[in-house]
Amino acid sequence: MDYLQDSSSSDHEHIQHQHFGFGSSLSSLDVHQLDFLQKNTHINHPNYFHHQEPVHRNSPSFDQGYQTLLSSPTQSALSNHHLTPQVHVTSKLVSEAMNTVGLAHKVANLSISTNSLCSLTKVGRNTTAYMIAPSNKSHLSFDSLPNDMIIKIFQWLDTCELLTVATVCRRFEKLIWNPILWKIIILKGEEISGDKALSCILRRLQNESDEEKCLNVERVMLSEGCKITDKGLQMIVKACPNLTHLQAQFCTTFSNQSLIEFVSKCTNLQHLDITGCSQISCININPSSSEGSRKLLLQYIDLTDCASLDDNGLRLIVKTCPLLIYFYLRRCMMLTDTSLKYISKFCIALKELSVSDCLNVTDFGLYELAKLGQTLRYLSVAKCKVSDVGLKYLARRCYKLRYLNCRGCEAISDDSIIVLARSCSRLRSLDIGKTDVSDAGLCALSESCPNLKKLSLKNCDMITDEGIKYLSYYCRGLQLLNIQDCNITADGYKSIKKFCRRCVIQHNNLILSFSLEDQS
Amino acid sequence: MDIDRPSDPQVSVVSSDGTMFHTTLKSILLSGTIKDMIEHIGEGGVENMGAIPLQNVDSKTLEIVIKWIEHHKDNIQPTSEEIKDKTADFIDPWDENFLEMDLDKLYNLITAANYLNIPQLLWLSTRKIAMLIKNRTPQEIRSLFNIEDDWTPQEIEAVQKENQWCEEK
Repeated sequence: MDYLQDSSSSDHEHIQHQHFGFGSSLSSLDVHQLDFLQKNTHINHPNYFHHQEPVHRNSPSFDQGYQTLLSSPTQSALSNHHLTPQVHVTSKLVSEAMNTVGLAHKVANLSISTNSLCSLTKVGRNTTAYMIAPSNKSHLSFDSLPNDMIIKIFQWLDTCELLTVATVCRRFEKLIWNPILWKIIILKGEEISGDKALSCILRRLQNESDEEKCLNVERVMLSEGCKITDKGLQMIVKACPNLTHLQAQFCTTFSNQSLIEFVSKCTNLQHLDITGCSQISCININPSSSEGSRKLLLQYIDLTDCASLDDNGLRLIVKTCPLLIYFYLRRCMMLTDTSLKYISKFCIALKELSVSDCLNVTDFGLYELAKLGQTLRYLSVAKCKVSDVGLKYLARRCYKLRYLNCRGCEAISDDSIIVLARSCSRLRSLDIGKTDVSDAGLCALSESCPNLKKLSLKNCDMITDEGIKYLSYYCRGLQLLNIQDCNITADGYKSIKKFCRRCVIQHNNLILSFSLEDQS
Repeated sequence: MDIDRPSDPQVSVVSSDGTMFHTTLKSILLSGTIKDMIEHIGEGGVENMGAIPLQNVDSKTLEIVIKWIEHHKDNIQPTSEEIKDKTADFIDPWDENFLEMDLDKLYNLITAANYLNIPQLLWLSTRKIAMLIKNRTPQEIRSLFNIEDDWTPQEIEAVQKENQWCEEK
């Protein structure tokens, strides 16, 4: 800190240099403040933050960062008492400094707050000698926080909370429409009309920013029964060109046409969740004549419960979305093995796939999916018509699987689970409920998959205490084990309790509950 | 400047009301503002420099800040860019406990964390206040934070009408 203490010189360049030293240290300033700093290096100062007079609501000077210059008369008078005889030197220093950068004309119009002067003295002459008590020690309130701090606080609030805060006072009502706070719009609940809410929010944002588009809005997430119609979708298309995420579940009135317009105009879209939009049968942005020419950047698509989707629609989707990583097609009943063939052909980066309850998927579908090889990490084929043959084939090729759900695939037995255990040793989560797996399969899993954290054996009536004991001894990292509707007695239960201390056990056996009480 | 040198030199800081505090270089470097300043002085400057004056932080607040930075001096601090993406999934219980203070102190802490450019502390302290705002009615927010209701009945009606779709039925 030499440069702060070495002070006897009143050399202008020296002062200038010192101020730059401080200026550069204020990296937390935002852009317009920085701009201001650079223009007014001599006047501005860390004291910018020291401003303790109450912030005047709606004061335009605040946002422009001029408040250090506009001191209130009372404050100046108050601070004058604290000023040492040094002050005239300071004024001299300041005016000299000003002259060097041609700011003197500004001084004529603006009274410089004594705080600034004092700090200048300190910087210019001595570090610690002229500490002046803060002029305003009054009780702080929320109002004393600068706007950008309040906005930082508001960044923690979601859409509805922001609108509640808006009614607190005028200043808040003004502040909540800062575009920074509207990156994510979350609307929840059946009682909210999504169209109306979106139109209010987007219109207001457009007015506040004086721009036609709400460039800051990146995510629109509607959930818990909040729905929009084609009209809402069109509003988003018009106002939010930078949208990356859309979640609009169970919007049963969505038409293919408006969805197509949406995805072709919001070109940054990565995440699309249209669960339960039952009219959607396709996302194809290419007219039939030039099929496949334009691609989308989508990485995440959830089409769960889109009952109108068929193999042909799915073919067009996967052809236009070659970057897909996450793809969920639960209960799309019309899909068959043909769809899985298209998926493995076009989505070579696919990591996660769910075709749970797609009852037409068979072992042939698994043969196709096996082509995805080691990229596939997550697969759910619950209740599909798959058997040991298909699962063995897939397990040998997709050996990096971490999650597998084959609940309710009744043709699956120890045969394929033993192969699965040996090839997919990275498995963390496995659901083999209601399959024909017995203790032999469980032993293989115990020995080969030490990373197993979650396991569901619900309704596996061939599993006994012996298998459970084996499992608990080897897989001590288990966090969740479902043994509902199994023939497990207190013996097996105690073994899990003993070895897998952090494991949550889900069961529906009253006798086990009693044995637990006995223990405790 | 080699900030990872094994010895951790003493550094002094002076609050706005003239109280001097001693801490270590490693701790004080969590402040982006001071880090920039020290980097500006360059190699060798640290040993010779005097106390760092912090005219915008009073002694009560500075004491709190120093307690925080000394606790976190060995932790890797996220940059402000990383903090933007961070959600509130997990808060260190020490921090949670640390932030149990009255509102005046919290306001001062926020202002100080901003001035000193300590992103993690700013993140934590603004979150703390936001958690107090969540799930409260406007009237509760006003009385908790001592905010004056400056709406006329007509105005508040207009604002409420505009945001009516958000009201819980």
